[in-house]
Amino acid sequence: MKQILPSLALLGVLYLLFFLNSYAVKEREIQIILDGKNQSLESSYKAVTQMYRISIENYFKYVIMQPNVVEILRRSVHASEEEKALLRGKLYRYLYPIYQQELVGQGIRQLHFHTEKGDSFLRFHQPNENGDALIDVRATIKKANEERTFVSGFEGGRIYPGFRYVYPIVDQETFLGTVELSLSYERIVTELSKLLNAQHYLLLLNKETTTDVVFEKHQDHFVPSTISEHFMIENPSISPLSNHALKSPLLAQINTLLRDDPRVQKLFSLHKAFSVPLLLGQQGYSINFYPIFTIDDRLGGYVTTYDCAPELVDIETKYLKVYLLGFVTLAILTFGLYLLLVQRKRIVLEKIQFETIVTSTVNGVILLNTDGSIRFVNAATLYMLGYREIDMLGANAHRLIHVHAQSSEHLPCPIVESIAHQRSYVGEELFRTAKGEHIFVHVNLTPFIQENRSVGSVMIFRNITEEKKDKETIEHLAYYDSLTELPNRKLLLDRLNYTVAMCARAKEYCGLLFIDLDNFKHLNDTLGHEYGDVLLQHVAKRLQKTLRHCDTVARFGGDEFVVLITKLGSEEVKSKTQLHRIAQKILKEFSKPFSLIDCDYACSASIGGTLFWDNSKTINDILKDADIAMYTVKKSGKNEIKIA
Amino acid sequence: MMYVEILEKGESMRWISYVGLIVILLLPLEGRELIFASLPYKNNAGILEDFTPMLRYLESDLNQSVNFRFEPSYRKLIADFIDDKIDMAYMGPLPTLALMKQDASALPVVTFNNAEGKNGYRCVLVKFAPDILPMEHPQTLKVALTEPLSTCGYFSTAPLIQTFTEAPLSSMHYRYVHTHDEAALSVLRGEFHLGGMKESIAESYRSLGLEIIAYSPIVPGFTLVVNTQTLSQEQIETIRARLLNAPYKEYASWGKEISFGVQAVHADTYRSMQFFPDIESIPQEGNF
Repeated sequence: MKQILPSLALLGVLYLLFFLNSYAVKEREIQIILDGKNQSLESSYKAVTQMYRISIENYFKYVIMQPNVVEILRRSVHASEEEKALLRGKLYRYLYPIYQQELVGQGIRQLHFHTEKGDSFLRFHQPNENGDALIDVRATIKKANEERTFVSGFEGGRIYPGFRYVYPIVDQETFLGTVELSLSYERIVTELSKLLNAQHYLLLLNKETTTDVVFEKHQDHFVPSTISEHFMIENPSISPLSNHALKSPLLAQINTLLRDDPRVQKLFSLHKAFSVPLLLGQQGYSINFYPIFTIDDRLGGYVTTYDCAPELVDIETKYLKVYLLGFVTLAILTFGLYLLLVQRKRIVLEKIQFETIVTSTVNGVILLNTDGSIRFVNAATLYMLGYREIDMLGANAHRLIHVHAQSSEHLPCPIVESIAHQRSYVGEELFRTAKGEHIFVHVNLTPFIQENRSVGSVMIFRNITEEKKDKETIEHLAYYDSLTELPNRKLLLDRLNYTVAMCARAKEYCGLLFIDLDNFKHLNDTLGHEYGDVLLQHVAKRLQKTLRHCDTVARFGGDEFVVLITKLGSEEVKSKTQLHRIAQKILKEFSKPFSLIDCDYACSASIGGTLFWDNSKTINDILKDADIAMYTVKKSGKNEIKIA
Repeated sequence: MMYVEILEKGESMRWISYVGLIVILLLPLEGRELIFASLPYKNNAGILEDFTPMLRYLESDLNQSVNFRFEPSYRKLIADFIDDKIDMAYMGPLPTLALMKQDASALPVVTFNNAEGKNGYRCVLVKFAPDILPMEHPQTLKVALTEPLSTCGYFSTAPLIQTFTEAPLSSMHYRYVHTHDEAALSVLRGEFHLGGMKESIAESYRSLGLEIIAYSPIVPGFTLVVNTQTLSQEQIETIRARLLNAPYKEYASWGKEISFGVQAVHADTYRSMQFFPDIESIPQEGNF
C-alpha cells in the first residue's frame, strides 16, 4: 500500500507532464496548419488586390482618361449648377458603355468622379446622388485630393465600403478632381476562390470605420454579423455572398461558437491575422481571419474564410491515440516501478535481515570469491580471529587463516577443493588467529550462487576449541578415575574384552591381578578421607611406575585396583610364575612407606590373580577368579599373593 | 346529479378542446413571418433601403417579423399576390386596380402622400436636355417605359406623347425597361429620346440634365395593398392604424417615395382612373 500511493502519484505527475508536452506539440502542429492556411489567405488576398490594382490602373490610364472626359471635367470646374448637371449627364452618357461593359464586367462596383473640392460629382452606381461632400468622410479622397497622388485601400463609404483605388486627375497642371474605382468584396472572393479552396467567404466590416459612415438611408445595406457585435456584414437580401453564408447551418453553428468564445473576441481586438481551429462532428475546420486596414491604418474589417481542414481531425485522432498509448505505457512503467519498489524494499529488508543475522550471529561468516580471496567478513569473524577487516578483505583465506594438521599436510585442502569444485563442505578445521594461536572451528562451506552461477562460497564457522576440550574432558572422566587418573572400571572392562580377544588370537597367556589395600578403611576412619585419597593417588603412581606401559592399571572401585598384564608367554606354568613375580614386585613396592599429607604410612595389599589365554572364560569369569583369589588372601591374613 | 356533473364537465372539456384547436390553428399564422413585396421601381438594394424602416415600424405592433420578397416584374408581383405568397404589397394605382380586378382579397389600406403632403402624384415625360429630338419624324422616336402595368408606363405616357409630339405612342419605338430609374437613366445614356416615369424620380435626375417636358394629371398615390386571405382583420386594422398614426419623425425617415405620410383609401380614391382606357389594351411588350 505504501508503494501504491507514490506510484500512483508518480503516474499522475508523469502523465500530466506527458500530456502537457503532447498537448503543446499538438497545438504547435495545429498552429503550423493554421499558419499555412492564414498565409495562403494573406498571399492570395495580396495577389488579388495587386492584380486588380494593375488592371484598374490600366483602366484609369487608357479607358477613363480620354480627352472627352478630361474636357468635361475641365469645363465643370467653373460651371454653374445647371451647366454642371448637363456636363454630369454627358459624362454619364459618354462613359456608361465602358462602365457597363468593361468595369462592371470586371467586378468594379463603383466608378465615382469627385470634384476638385472633394464633393461627389458623379456616381455611376447611383447617378442621381451627387453633390455631397466627401472629403471629411473619405480618407482616400482627401489624401488623393490634397497630395495629388494615387491612393488605394479598403475604406468605408456613403453607400458601400469597398476596395478603393483613387486617382487624381490633373490636366496641364490643373487639378480637376479625382476619380475612384471600387471593387466589391464579391469580386475579391471570386478571384480568391480561384486560388483558395475555402467553403465560404465573408467580409466582416468594422462598424466604426465602415458602416457607421454610410448614409443613414443606406444603413440597411448591412446587418450585424453573428460573430461579433463590432462587425457587420452586407445585407443578405442584396449580397449573394452574405446570403449564401447566412443560409448555411454549418456557418451559423461555427459563427455561434466563435461569438461565444472569449478568446476569439479578444483576438478580434488585436487587429492581427489569426485562424481558429474547430472540430464539428467528424470534420475539421479552419476559420481564417485576415485584417484589412483603411489608409489611415484603422481596422477596416477581416477577410474571413471558412476552410475544411481534415488534418485537424487526423491530428486530434493521432493525439488521442498518443494520450491513450502514453497512459498505457506509463501505467505499465509505473506498475513495473511499483514492482521494482516492492522488490527493492524486499531486498533491502532481506539485506537488513541478512546483515542483522550476519552481524549479530556468533558464528563467523566469510564470503569467498572463487579464487579463495575474502570478499566479506562479519564482526564475529573479526572477533574470533582477531584481525581487522582491512587485513582480511582481499586476502587469500587459505593462506591467512587455514592451518593443516601435520598429519594431513600432504592432502589437498578440503576447503580450497570445495570452493574450486563448487561443493559444500562440512568439517572441523584448524584456523590461525592474528596472534598465531590455533583454534578449532566447525566449518560449513556452501557455494554462493548469484544469477545461476557460482561467484564464490559462503563459509560459516564457529570456534569449537573449548567445546573440543570439554568433550575430551568428558571422555576422560568417562574412562579414567578422577582421583588417580587411572583407567576406571569401564575402560578396564573394555581393555579386558579386547585383551581376551587378542590373546586368543595370539595364543598367549595374559593375567589379571586384583589388588585390595589392606586396612584402608581404618586409615579413612582414623586419619580422614583426604589421607585415604592421597594414599590411593600414591598407590596408583607406584603401580604405573612398577608395571610396563603395555600393561593396564585400573582403579576398580574404592581401594581396589586391577592390573591387566599381557604377553605372559604361551606356557601356562611360566606365565603363572611370571604373573606371580609381577605381583611380588607390586607387594615389594607397597612395602615402602607412603608419604601422606603429614605422615608416612605403611600399607600392604592383598593380591589375587588369574591367567587366561583364550575366550573360554568371560571377562566376568576372569574378574571373579581374581577376586576370589584376592579374598582367599584376605581371609588367610592379608599382604599375600594368590594366583588361581 | 352525478350525470349532470359529468355532462357539464364533458361540455367544458369540449369547449377547451375547441379553444385549444383554434389556438393551435392560429399559432402558425401568428408565428410565421409576413412577406412584403414592392413593385420593382428600383433595384433590390433601393427597395430594401426605402422600406426597411417602415417595416420595422410595423413589426413592433404586429409582433411579427416582416421580410422582403423581391419581384422581378409587375406581372409576377400580381401573380404571387394572387397565389397568396405575399401579405403586403407596395403598388402604384394602376397595378392596384389590375390586382383588385383579379383578386378580391387585395385591399388597399393607405396611399402614400407626395412631397406636398397630398394624395396622388404625376407622371412625366422626360428627355435629356441637350438632346435635339427629330420631331419631324416622330415615328423614329424611341420611348422608354417602365412596366406594362405601371401607372407611369404606357398607361400615362401614351397620352403625354400624343400631346407632346402629336403622334401616337404606338407609332413610335417603345420598350419596357422595368423601373422608373432605368427609364430615366436610359434616356440619359442616349438609348431613348423620351421616357415616362414618376415625377419624383425624374426630379432626382435633374442634376444629370434630365428635363421634364410634360406632366400627366394627378393619379392616386402609391398604395399599400394587404392580402385579406393571409392576414386577419385584426392584423389589417393594426397595419392601417399604425400607418395612419405614424408620427412625422417616423415616416420622414422612410424611403424618399414614402416619406411624406399616408392617407386612408376611400371608396372614390380610384374613381377617376376608372375612365382611363381599358387596362387589358396596354401592350405587354415593347415594339422594338
